[in-house]
Amino acid sequence: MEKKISYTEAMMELEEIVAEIEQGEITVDTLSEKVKRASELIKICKSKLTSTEEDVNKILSDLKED
Amino acid sequence: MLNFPEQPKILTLSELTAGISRVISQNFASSFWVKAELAKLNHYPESGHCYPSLVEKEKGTVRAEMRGMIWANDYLRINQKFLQVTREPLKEGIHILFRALIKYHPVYGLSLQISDIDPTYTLGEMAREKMETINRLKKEGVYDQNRQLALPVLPQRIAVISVKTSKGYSDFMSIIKGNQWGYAFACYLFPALLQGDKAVDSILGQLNLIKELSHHIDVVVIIRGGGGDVGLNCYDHYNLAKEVAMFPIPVLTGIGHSTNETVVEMVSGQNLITPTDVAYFLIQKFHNLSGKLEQLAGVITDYALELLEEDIRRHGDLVRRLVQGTRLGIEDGSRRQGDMGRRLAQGTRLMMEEEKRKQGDLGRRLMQDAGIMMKDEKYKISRQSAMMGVHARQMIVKQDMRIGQAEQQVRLLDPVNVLKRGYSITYSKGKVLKDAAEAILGDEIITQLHQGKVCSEIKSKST
Repeated sequence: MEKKISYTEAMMELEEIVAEIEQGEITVDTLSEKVKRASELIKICKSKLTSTEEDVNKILSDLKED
Repeated sequence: MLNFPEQPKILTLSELTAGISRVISQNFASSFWVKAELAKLNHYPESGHCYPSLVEKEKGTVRAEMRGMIWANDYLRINQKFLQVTREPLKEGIHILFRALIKYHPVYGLSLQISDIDPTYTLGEMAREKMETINRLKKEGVYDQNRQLALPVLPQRIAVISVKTSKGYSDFMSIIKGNQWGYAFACYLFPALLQGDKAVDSILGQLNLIKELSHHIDVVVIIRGGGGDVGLNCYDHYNLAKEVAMFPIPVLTGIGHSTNETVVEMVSGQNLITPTDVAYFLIQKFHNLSGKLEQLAGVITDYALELLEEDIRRHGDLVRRLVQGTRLGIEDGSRRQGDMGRRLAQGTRLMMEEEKRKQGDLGRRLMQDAGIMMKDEKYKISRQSAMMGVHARQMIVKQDMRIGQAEQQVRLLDPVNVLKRGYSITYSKGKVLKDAAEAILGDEIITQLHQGKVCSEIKSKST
């Protein structure tokens, strides 16, 4: 399910976390969890830069349906 | 007998055509400069001659039409000059200013023998048409539409309108596919003619196809290169320019020529001129995203570290207060109690130092993690470390309470404190007198009070 998140969505969530941290809304207790989530998001975004989910077959099959 | 009226003079066809020929050569002996639209070129490659169709139109209807002819030698010279000046070959649909002799042939009829064409006239006409296209698009309010579309955050799926064997396409693909940062693009080639008259319909056809697949495409690029810079007039064509201007996906152009910007390039989302620049532009978008991610990771690391340091400092405070409190307890208490306090203090200090070290470790590890941000294992570790931090704080609170209790006990047991509250100790013959049965009438007893002693005699007793 996490894999389906789009780059834009991941980026938005990441920026939210950063904003929370910047505004000091995070305590040490939740820090670890937030940092973990932020790291996951960064990882997702980075992997999206270097891989594509689209393939030619998908496009071709769409073309035939039309 | 039937009387026929005077017989009219009967001519043979050749006598008539000879007459027409004579009239024409007498009245139209010299050449004229004529302007007209070149409706058809009709070039015959075998002979090299052209038999163009020349028309004048008004609001779409033909007002005049004549056949022309250009001999092979004239055609070569005229076309070369035309190409040099206009960067377009002689072709259908353009307006030309030409020098012509009116020729009449008894078999082929009337025609215009073209000996020269002025290319600057056509150039002016093309510029005028280009301006018309621009003004029309502006008037229709579509001129800026594609330019105002925001490029997707991640322009990754690219529809490429180009020619597979062209240098422009191979330049583009080698930069996109060979980028050293491993950025991934999905490129789909939509082959089309990229110059000349047929390019308009060819590109329009591919744009329509891409429109149907728009949910798979982030950006369209039109790239061309290596084909010389003639025949680019198609990019000023109203239909093509309008389609690009109104296209629902951003269009990037790299048509790669050195002459004036065409209308298609003007209305495209971004004109990057060459295919390689289009490729670098897209890679730069990825660079920007990558940089932004690094920056966010940095921010998270910095703030997380700051937060941890603050926490460690707070723990340090707590330790100091704990040690101080324990020391006071020792001073007040008995040696035995003091021992316990010392051990407690030492134990606590050791424990706190250990926790401090762990917190420091955690900070360092977190910084590393945030920097690398890749391995899940590390997050497990950092979570465990954080849990230990929580645990440590609970321990401290518990120890604090225990020390408080110990202090209380020590205070209660100190005889000084007991005397303070009004209790006294009675000695008889140097021993503490605890039982009235041991007291002997008339004996002298000493009573230790909080302040000083009193000496008294036992007068009576009761048990």
